[in-house]
Amino acid sequence: MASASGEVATGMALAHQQAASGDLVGAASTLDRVLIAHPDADAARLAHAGLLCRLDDTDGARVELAALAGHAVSDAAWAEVTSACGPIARPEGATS
Amino acid sequence: MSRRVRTCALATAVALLAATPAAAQNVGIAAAVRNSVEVRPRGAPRPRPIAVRAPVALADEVHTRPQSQLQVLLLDQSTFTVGANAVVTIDRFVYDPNRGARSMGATVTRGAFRFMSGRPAGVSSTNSTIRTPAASIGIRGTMVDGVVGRAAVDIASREAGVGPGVGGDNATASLIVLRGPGPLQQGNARPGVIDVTAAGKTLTLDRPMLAVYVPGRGKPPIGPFRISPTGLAKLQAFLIPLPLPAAATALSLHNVANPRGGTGGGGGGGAAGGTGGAAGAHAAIPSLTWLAVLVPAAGVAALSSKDRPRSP
Repeated sequence: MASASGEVATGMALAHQQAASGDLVGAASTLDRVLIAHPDADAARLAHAGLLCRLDDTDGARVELAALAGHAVSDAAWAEVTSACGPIARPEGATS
Repeated sequence: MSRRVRTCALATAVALLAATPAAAQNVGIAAAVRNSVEVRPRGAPRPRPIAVRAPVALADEVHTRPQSQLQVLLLDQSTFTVGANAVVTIDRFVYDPNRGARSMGATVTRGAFRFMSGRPAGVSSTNSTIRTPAASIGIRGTMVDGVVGRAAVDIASREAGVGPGVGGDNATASLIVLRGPGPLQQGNARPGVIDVTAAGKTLTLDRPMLAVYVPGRGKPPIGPFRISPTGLAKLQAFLIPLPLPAAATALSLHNVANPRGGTGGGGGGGAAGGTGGAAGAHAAIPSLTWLAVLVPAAGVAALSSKDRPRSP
C-alpha cells in the first residue's frame, strides 16, 4: 500500500479501488499519503475532497478545495467533485 | 491483506503481548515522509532521519521539523499522520486478525496529528487511545485530528465555541476535532465517535467537526463546539501540505507553532524567518481566499524517492 501511494497515479488508482470496495477511510488515508509526498497533485486533492464529502466531512472538503484557488480544474474533474459533494463552491479563481 | 502480512501482524501482536522492554517491535512503516522527520528509538541517545518505507517500532519517538510530515501506516491499515513541529510516540499496538482484535495507544507530546482507523477484514473491535499532556482521547473507529501546544491555543482563541479570554498553556493545551465518518457517510465504516477526557471530565464527540479544547494539564475540557472553517484550515495545514501557488503567497503559520524557528533538534525550517502575524490577519478575509493566509510558506519538498526538492 505504501509503495502504491508513492506515485500520484498509482496512489489514486489504489484509492479508487479502496473507495469502490466501500473503504472510504482507507482511500482518504491513501490520498493523504499522496498529498504529503506530492502537494501539487491537484487531481489527488480533488479526489480527496470528493472522498471527504462521501465521508460526511463537507467542511474538510471545502478546505481542500480552497487550496486550489487559482488552479485549473477541468469541468470533468469538477463534475466528479459535485457528484460527491452536491452543490459546492468552485475554488475561487479556478479555471477550467 | 495478504497472508504474509497477516502472519507478520499476528506475530508482531503475539510478540508484543510478551514483549520485553528491550524488544523493539515494528508496528508499521513510514508510508509518506516530507522534509525533515527523525525517529529516536527507545533508549537511543539521539534521533535519526527516517525515510519512506522504513519500519516504525513500538516506542519510537517521532520528531518532525517545520513544514515536515510523516504518515505511519500501521499493520492493521490504520494510519497515524504526524504534522509539522511534532513529537509523537506509538506506545501500544496489538493486532490479532484471527481474534478480530486490535488496540493502539499513542502519545502526542507536541504538534498536530491525524489518526484514521483502518478496516482490515474480520477485525471489528478496537480500543485505541491517544494521550496528550492535557487529555486522553478514546477512539471508536474514526478519523480524528488534533494539535498540542501553542497552535492549539492560537486556533482555540479564535473559536466562538471557546469564548474570549480562555487562553491556554503553550506547552500542553490540546485541541481535538472529530473528522468523521459522519452519520451520512456513504462507505461501510461505522460513524466515528471519540471520548475526550481531561481533569476527570469526559466529553463525547459524535458528529464531524465537533471539537474539544483543553487549555492545559489539569484543566477541564471546553466543548463540544463546532470548529470554524478557519480553525479547521489552520489545523489541516499542519498535516497536509498545500500546493505551491497558494503556499508561495502565504504568510507563515509556521511561526505560530514554532516562534523560535526550530524543534529543539537543530531547527532547519525554511520558514523560520517568515513574516509571522498570520494568526491575526485572517479573520476579516471572506470566502475561500482565507486559506491563502493560513498556510505555511513554501518549502514543499517531499522525500519520496523520485521527488525533487523544491526551494523554499
